[in-house]
Amino acid sequence: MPRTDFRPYRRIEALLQFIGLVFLGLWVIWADPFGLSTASEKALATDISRSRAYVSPVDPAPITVVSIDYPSIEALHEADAAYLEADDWPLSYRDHARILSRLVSAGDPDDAPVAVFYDIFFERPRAASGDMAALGRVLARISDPPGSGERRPAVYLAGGGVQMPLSAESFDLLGGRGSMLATAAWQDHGDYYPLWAPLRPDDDASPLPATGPSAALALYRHLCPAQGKDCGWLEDGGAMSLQWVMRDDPACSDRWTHLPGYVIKTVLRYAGAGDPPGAADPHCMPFHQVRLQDLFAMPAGGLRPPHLPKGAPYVVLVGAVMPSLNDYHDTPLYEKVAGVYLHAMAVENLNRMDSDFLREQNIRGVSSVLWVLIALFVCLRRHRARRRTAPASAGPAAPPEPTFRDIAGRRLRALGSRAGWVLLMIVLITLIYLFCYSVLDIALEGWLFMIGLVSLLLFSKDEPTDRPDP
Amino acid sequence: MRARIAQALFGASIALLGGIAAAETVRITQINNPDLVELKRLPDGEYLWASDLEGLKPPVRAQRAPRNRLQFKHHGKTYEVDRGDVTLDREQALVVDACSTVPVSLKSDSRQASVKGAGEACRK
Repeated sequence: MPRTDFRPYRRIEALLQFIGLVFLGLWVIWADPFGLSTASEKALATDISRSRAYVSPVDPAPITVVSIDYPSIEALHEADAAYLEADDWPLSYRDHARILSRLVSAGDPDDAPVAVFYDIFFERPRAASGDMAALGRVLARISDPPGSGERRPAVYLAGGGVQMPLSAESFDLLGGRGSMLATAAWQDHGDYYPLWAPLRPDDDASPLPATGPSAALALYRHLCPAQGKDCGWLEDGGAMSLQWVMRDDPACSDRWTHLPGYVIKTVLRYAGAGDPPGAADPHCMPFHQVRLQDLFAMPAGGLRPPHLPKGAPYVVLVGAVMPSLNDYHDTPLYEKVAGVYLHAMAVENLNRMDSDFLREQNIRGVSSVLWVLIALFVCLRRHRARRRTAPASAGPAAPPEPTFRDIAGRRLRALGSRAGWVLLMIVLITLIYLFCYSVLDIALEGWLFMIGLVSLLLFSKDEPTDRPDP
Repeated sequence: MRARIAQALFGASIALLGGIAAAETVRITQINNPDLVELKRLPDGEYLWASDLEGLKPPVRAQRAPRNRLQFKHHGKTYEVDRGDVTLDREQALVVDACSTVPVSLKSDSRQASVKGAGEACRK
């Protein structure tokens, strides 16, 4: 007896199912309904990033971060030498000038950093902080030192960004040099860290440059050539997906004590039990961390990261680290960290990976094609499975009525099969994500259609059954 | 009458003490980073770099001035410098507080809806 499909409408049904699935997937990928796709991507990226930090700790970077914290301000104000005029934030402009002088005066030129990013935003002149022009004069003197042949670090100031541009008055008083500004605020990049970003709105008539390098790029443009690397790619632009890493130190990243605990906690959390794994200790960041009061107490050259040999280039970032300033950012590894550490981690990523840093890439188009292929595969498989079962229903002799045990067994097997598929897909998706993240240096965006896949698998009953569909 | 004399004497002594305090003499042993330290010339108020002042070699005698500044004479002219830009004779070393910690990170579920008052912090 020839195998014929006794229910031709099933082709139409399969076609409609295929179209429905394609639309479902495209909707999830492109429209990001309820932020499901974004949220799941972020959650996955967070866990992968954390795991990777524990599994692959890094060497200390040639980076020093100077924290301007309240106890330091207080101590320096009350010191016999009265290093700071101000006894609280904000500091006076002369205080800032004094800090910058300390930063760039290392005694031995080999001990000086190659560049400094001063992550303080002088949005507009503030009368209570003194004369901003005094700070501008010191900046000009640092930029153009007296005498020939003397090398001073390049100093960059936080130049704001399109949503909070530096005022023309501040720009003028600080020296009016666009080359000293690094973008420290941006928008439309999500969690990514752009290498270039606007310093002001397009229609703003301010004398500010239209765009500026981010703080990390500004510093790395000095660090990279000083290390003798090929730095031609630096002007390419793009945006980074920051890898939050930790120092290779048994106290921080001992994989045999930290990683199993982390994995167990993560699994428990996904199972609905337990809290998220605790954050890593911020002292495990691969930077030399210095407080402002240390800067005034240390001998010349003390800013150099301890692991670096004399003469090896390094950069310095300075920022206010005070919870009341509200400049903290979510990270996958260290919870919320002060803004200056965000820039420092971006420099670390550039320094460690150079042009292989994780890039922002929108591959929704590829995702869509892939989704169509998967939907086609599943729908065809399901359709064929139904065709195989169809003759059984058309035969003259009806199968014997199954017992309760048979039905229960079949249902359990089907349930187990589907659960297995779901687990397999989740593992597969994670592995694909990890592969792109680790090997291809791509942080996937608009891609995670896991929700759609799971829906597909729950929707599809592609395992052959002994009974025809009703 | 006696009371007035006593008041006048008291006032004079206070003024004298104030004058002594204002004119307290100190010795500058070092100008920190003279290339980047500005001196204010009095009375014209012109700013000069300490390294540009010919022949200026500490130690230099100076007098305390208001707003935590020091005044000293050089080649017959008076200059003013920030106290924080110089080292004085018998200055107490900076005591570094090793106990307090820097709040580098905060809990992820911490929230804040205000910014410390007045300053160039940020507009978020």
